[in-house]
Amino acid sequence: MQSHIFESYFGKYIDISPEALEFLNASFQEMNYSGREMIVESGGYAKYFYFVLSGVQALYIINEKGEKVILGFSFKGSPSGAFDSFITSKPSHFFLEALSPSKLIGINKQKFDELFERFPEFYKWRALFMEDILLGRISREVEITTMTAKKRFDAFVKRCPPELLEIPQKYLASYLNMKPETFSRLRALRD
Amino acid sequence: MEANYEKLLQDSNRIKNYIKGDVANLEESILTRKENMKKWSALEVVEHLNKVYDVYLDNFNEAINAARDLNENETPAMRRTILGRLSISINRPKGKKRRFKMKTFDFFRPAIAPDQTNGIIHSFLEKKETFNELIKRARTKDLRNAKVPTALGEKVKFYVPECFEFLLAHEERHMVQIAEAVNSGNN
Repeated sequence: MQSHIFESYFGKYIDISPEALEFLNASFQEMNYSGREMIVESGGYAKYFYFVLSGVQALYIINEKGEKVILGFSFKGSPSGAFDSFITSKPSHFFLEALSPSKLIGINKQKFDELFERFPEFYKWRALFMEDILLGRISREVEITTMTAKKRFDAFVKRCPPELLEIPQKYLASYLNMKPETFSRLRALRD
Repeated sequence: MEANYEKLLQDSNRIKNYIKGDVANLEESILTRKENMKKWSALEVVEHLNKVYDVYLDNFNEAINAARDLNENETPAMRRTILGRLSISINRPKGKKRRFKMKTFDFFRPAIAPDQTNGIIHSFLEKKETFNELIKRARTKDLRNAKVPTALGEKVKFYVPECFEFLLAHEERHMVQIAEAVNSGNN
């Protein structure tokens, strides 16, 4: 069903056998969300590990002032989910929300665990995936703690996919830890 | 970026998880324990909350059904009345203490028959799920002028999100009461 997605994503990390591909096709199911729809809510359970087929989603937490703080985005071709809950099977601390109409494919925890039991080569993907996440978080921490707003903005624009620049800028400003007015000013300078 | 409805949902889930994880599995003797005849057992508190939901859920549903969908760029409004603000503040416990003693209305008073104890928590969790769905639906609707009736008086109406918050503050107060009831045998 979604063979090309699995091949193009997992294929970057490992060789996938036809049996594994069949398992992935049978285990992932398609889900559609409208814009503003919650995919996972804080205090709820994240039942799926997703890949994004279309749309943009935001992962956020609520701070003590009752404001949303954007931690990250997912978009076409990227993995998505509230991994704290998915991994631990405990309630999530995060919200995952579709910012635009979104089509995702998701695999539940039981099938996800079965994937590694039946096809141990996927442990290599898991390790490399975790490395990617770790390096990404380190890089973001350096940006947030050491760079000026302008440099953070420039670094973000350089690496982000075009569809991310289409979402309301208050989300992007929050992600970059700057006021929407600052984001707007920097964007105007760039345009 | 304000997170009004999301905060309500987070608080509501916290209460749901407390009832589901910490209360639902307690033995019936603990759930029905009363410190004295004037005080409610944990199960009576939950039944009281069920009765509250029976009154409010339909009102929320009606207001949300009647509201138009927000456009993509519109932000949901959060308005408050003076009385609503006060009611939320009075109900919300301070730490693990209820700030004021309150008497409930007769129609909210729990009455549990001995053979009806099983379904009370299950029923609460179902109503809570409906409540959470209503919060999620409300955040995509224009409810800036929509008010819902309350049980505080014929003329006392609250804005929809304000009324969500009022019910949650009321529930938080009763979560403290549940903790007191189940722990009352430990003193």
